[in-house]
Formats: sequence, structure tokens, C-alpha cells
Amino acid sequence: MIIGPFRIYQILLIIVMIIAIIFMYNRVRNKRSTPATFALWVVVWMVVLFFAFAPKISDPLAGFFGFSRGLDLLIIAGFAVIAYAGFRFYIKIDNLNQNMTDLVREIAIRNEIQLDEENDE
Amino acid sequence: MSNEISQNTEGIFLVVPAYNEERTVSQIIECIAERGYNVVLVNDGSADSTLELATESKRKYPDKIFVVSHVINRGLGAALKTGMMVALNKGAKYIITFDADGQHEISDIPNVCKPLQDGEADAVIGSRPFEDMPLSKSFANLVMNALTFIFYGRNVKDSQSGLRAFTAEAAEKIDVVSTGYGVSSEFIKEISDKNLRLAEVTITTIYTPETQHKGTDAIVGLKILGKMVIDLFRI
Repeated sequence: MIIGPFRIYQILLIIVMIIAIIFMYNRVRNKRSTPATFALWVVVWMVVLFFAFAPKISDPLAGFFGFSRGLDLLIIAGFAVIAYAGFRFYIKIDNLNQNMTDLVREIAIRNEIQLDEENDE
Repeated sequence: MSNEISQNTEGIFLVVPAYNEERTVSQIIECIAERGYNVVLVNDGSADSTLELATESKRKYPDKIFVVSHVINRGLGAALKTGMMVALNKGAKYIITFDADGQHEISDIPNVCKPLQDGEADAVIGSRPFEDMPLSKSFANLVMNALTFIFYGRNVKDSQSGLRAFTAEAAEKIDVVSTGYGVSSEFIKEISDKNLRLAEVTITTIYTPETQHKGTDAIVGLKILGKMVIDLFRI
């Protein structure tokens, strides 16, 4: 589907990019992310937009990796990024889980049940 | 839990992890303390009155029963590690892990401790005879033994037994990170990796509705398998 000079996926991508950049900008303002992370995401989105608006340019790159169409390369690259992100999330959650267990253990050991203290209460 | 066996109980600490075990916890830890053993009861974020009952038992045996409590449930492996750390802090010479659901015979404690006290082993696993188990359990445990061998290269009679014994030196070397039931296989891995001498002792297991409800069944087995595979990629 074509709306004006744009295809619909291009319009959707621009909307998602604007939301993502606003989200990242707020995170930087609230000191939850660094400006360097923000800059990295802006660059990533610019690259995505570049290929979205000039898909033919990706064809030689696709050929280099053995794909016939640039879009195929983008889709496979997208899946790879998502798989990598999933793996990173798993590791992060696992580390958080481990930290939580260490914390719970520390609290338990420091607060061993003492009968005298209970009687005082 | 009837046979009275005389044994030097000095320095022997039993680590008992408990999660919602209000029906059995008092009887088990009081029975153990009565025999002269030290008990570290780890309440693993129970929602029932396990902690209150354990505290009541401590009033009866203040010098034998030690109670620590996880504020939230962290799983069997986490509770065992907490209990072993507490036991080591209290100067344990031998540490025995013992389930709180009533499936182990207290009279087996001297048997699993003996190879350690005789200097023949650094770690002991109490093996449950599979022929005594319900069929679904024995099959699940056979599969877990095979998986433990494939992943960790150690063939043992009962990789999922909850009754284990360690010298203090061995317990200090063992570092388990699995929080759930996967910890049983991880103990085997650690024993293997740290080159600890392992002995296996046949024990009695009491099967009741409570003891059959927990432990290794097909679902738990699949979860442990998933964890083993993921651990291969652990960074």
C-alpha cells in the first residue's frame, strides 16, 4: 500500500522510531541511560531507516552474504538481532535472579532466629 | 525413624530446607535434635506456619536447632547453600543435607556419615533403591542419572537423592548456583570437578503422599534438563 510518496511500512517505521527515540531521550533525562547509549540507538534507527527508504542499496550487500534480495538480508539480520537480544535478556535476568538469591541469603544469615530477641519484643 | 543408633554426634550438622512443611517440620527437626545432632532449618519463604513451628522447636532444643529464614522462596538449591553456609559458620565438621518432608530415616544418618568419619570419602550420597520407588519416580530418576552422566560425566546410583553428606572441607569447596531441584545434579558435577572422593550408601526411603508429591517427576526432570543445557552456555 502506498500513501503519498511513502509505502505504509515506511510510515510505520518512522512512527516506531519516533516513539523509541522519545523513550530513550526520557531515559537519558532521568539518568537511566547514558547519552552514548542514546546516540547508539539513534545511529541504529538511522541505518534501519536508510535501508527502508533505499532498499535497492542493500542489494549488493545482500549479494555479498549470499542473499538474492536486500529484504531477505534485513529480515534474517532482524531475527539474529532479536535472538541475540533474547539471549542477553536471559543472561541479565539470570544474573538478577542470582543477585536476589545472594541478598535473600545474606538477610537470612544476618537475622538468624534468636529466642532472646523474640522474648524482648 | 525408630532405630536408636549410638554415634559420636559432635560437629555433625544436618541442613534441612523446608518450604511449606508445617505437617512434618517439627517432628523431623526435634527427632534429629533429640539424637544429639545439630540442625540448621532453612525456611524457604514458606507461606504456612513452618517458621513458627521451627521456632517453637528451637525453644525445646535451643543449643541444637538453628533457624534461618529466606524472606521469599528461592528454591531448594538456594536453601541448601544457605544452610551449608550457616553450618560452616558454626564450626560444622560434617554437613548432611536432609529433606524436611519425612522421606528420610534418621537411622540412616550414621551410615552416610561413616565413610566421612573413617576418612574414606569427602562426600557421600545416600542412594534410594529404585525398586522401592513408585514406577513414575524410578523412571524419572533413571533418566536423571543418565543425563547427569551425559552432562557431568559422573555415573552415580541416585543423582537426585536429598540425603548427602560432606566433610567441612568438601562443603567449602562446593559451590552450587542452581536454585531449584537441579541442584542435585549440580552437587554431582561439583564433586566431580573438585576431585572429591565420593561414596554411595544405600538408604531407606519412606514413601507417603507428602513425599511423593515433591521431588523429581517428569516435569521437574524436563526443567532440570533445560537448566543443564542452558548452563552449558553460561558465560
